[in-house]
Amino acid sequence: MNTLRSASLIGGLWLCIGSVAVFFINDYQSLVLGTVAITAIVGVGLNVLMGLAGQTSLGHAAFYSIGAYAGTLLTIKLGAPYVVAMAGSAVIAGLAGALLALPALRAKGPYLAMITIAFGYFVEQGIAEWKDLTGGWNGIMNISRPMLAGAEISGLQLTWFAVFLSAVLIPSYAWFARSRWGLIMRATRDAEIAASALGAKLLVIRVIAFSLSASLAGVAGSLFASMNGFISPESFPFFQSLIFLLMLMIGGVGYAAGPLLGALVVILLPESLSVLAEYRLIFFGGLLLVVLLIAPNGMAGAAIKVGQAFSRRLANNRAPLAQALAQPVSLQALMNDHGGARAAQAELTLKDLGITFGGNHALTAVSLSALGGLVTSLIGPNGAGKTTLINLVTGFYQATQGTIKMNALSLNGLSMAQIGRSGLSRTYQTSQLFGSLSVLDNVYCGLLQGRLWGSIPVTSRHQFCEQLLHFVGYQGCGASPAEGLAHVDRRLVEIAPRVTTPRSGPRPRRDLVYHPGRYSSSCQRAVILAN
Amino acid sequence: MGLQEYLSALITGAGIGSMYGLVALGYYTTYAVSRTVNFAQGASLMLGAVLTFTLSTQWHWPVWLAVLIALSCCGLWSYFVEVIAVRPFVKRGSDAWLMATVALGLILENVVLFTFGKDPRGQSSSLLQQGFDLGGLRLNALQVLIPLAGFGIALILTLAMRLTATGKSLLAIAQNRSAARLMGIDSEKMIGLAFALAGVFAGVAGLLIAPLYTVSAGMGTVFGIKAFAAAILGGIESAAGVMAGGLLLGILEALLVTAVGSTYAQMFSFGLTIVVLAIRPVGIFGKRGINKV
Repeated sequence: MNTLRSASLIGGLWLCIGSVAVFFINDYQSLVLGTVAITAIVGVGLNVLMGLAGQTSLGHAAFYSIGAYAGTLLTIKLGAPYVVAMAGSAVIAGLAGALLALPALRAKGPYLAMITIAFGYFVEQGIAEWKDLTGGWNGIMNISRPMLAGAEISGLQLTWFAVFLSAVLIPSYAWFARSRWGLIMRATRDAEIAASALGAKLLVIRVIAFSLSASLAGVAGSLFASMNGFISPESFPFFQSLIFLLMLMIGGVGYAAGPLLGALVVILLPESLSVLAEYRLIFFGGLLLVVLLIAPNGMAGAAIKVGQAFSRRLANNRAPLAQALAQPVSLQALMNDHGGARAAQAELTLKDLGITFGGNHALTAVSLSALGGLVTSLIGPNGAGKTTLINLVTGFYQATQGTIKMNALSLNGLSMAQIGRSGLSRTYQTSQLFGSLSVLDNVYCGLLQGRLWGSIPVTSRHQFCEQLLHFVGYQGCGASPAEGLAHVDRRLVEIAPRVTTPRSGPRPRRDLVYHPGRYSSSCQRAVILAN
Repeated sequence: MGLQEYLSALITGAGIGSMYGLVALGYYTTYAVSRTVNFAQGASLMLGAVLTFTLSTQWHWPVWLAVLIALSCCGLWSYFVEVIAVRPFVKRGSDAWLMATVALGLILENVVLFTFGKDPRGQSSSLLQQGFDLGGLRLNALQVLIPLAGFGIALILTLAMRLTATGKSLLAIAQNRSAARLMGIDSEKMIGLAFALAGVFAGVAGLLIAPLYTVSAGMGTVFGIKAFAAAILGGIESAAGVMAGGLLLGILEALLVTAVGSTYAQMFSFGLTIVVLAIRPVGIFGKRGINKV
């Protein structure tokens, strides 16, 4: 994979540079290099949270400080060996991250920003207040260097270890972004509602994202404590959270090399231009502004754009899907090819369904029955409640009266994700695609149903997705990002994963609950074929 | 702790709370009109205090002139923030205005740090000397002026928004920007005006609280964050909500400081914010909009 290869190259290069540098630098320079490395480690974690899960954190210094104190205290008070202490700081910081994910779940925009800021201050004051454990505002001094096999690890060795860790994390991020978890996270970032309706459990995903990013910050924090020999609440002010954010934005959010580039700029630049030292903060503010205005994708994003301009690989990527099948394919044949079972007859029954918004009775006593194998149409003028009904059935709204049943399963009160996983799927008035993912990944994500574990019994994931796309009539390129598609193509890509479920077993085949839109006739043909 | 102390804390808390509310009004104004928040507003607060101090106390200009110039500068500064740090990003549909306003606030704070100096200065005020008794409690004129000013401005703002043409234009933009533009309302100018107004509010708050705290370059950051917390707690989409949030935060803080000391009070305020947002993600008085897909 392109990105993984270049990320590995960058990580390897960084490791080489660091490994050579440790032979030539003095103690102070070693500290600087080590700071770059640990800032990059925090950056990778923040990249997972912001770049993959789409959550901005203005309080990450809290996890950094939790890790620093946890690692130090585990060594001092419990005499734990260094590796254990570092693992402990990762776990404790990760737990704190999971804790923060809970209130952060439903908050968006400025509300989410506030939660993270408040958390940062809360932790800072809490650490200062817990004097018995943490030494309060005086902090902990004379933190000894960690011991390994009876010998004390020197500052240079510690720095090298930090560089090594950060070098490994860069390609790890690239791998993770492409992995199942990474894809699902990106899907929830791009189109939260569609991802939920397909079966992604938002809470679980957010907890994982927060925990992972907090753990990495925690590990970096414990390294910071060992390197500096002294920590206090004043080492981790609100401003530090801003520095982390600044680092990532300058480097490029969502890019594997972003944290490293950002850390190099944010730490090295003020050091090398010592005349700027006093004006460091003004410089940072100005730099951030310039970066945001001119290169919103950061240095990594700008570099990739420049690279793409020179590269001719762009042409190859735009090749349309291989037209492997000459004649129209039946869905059942497709399923049989990939291990799917014959679906049982499904029936969707609504009885006396109603919903009230405030005083407004949007729907009253709606009863209908939709059988599998048939196309059922819901017709009505503007404002009749058609979309509201679909939203009700698929769990976006909760009904105030009545029942919804799919075969024997009652769908009342189930969350969107639960309903999605039980086999019911829908499309949207404005198609909700995962814009940053490729067309093929969009289909694949739909098939995953947001399941982080478990296998998908398809012989070849790309081949199955390609065939699905071909089946619904999509004729464009599979690797292009979904956000650039034309309207009809958006519809087709939205429908493709919802046409079937790849899981075998006695589960009802998905009923399609289409939202009426402007369909081309080829779409309608696909609908009729599917049923 | 006697009842006296708590009552006194209540009054001080109401005063500080109304200042949180005033700054929060600024957040409300900009958010309502443009769905953005000016994180450089704390810097505007500091600017108001610092300029008033420099002009009136250091250079001995008449107070009214100093206040006028200080507030004008606050307004201009916030307008500048909007043009440089908000407008380009909103145009692109990006969220980066948040960090951009933070960056500008940082820059201003440090510019002032270099020109004004690191040492906090005490701002004396004749208002602190004038006092009177209220039911056995000794109050000074400033403690009365602050909540009066806060609520007064909130009231004027609400009335102006309902009754004047400019105010109605602001509301129109808040409710439907495209329709407002089609009606001939220059939304860019209006949003700039909203930002300038918010800056003036913050400046007023700054110069009012200056005699209570000290004047320094860093005085705006934490106050700005707490005011933001107040706005969020109350529900940033409602003017009454943000004022109520401010009062709530101010009073709670003051009572807690009296009871358990300032660190726990801070922890409690921030912890409370998180808990409230966990339960009601739109703030206490926020309206949970009906989502449509």
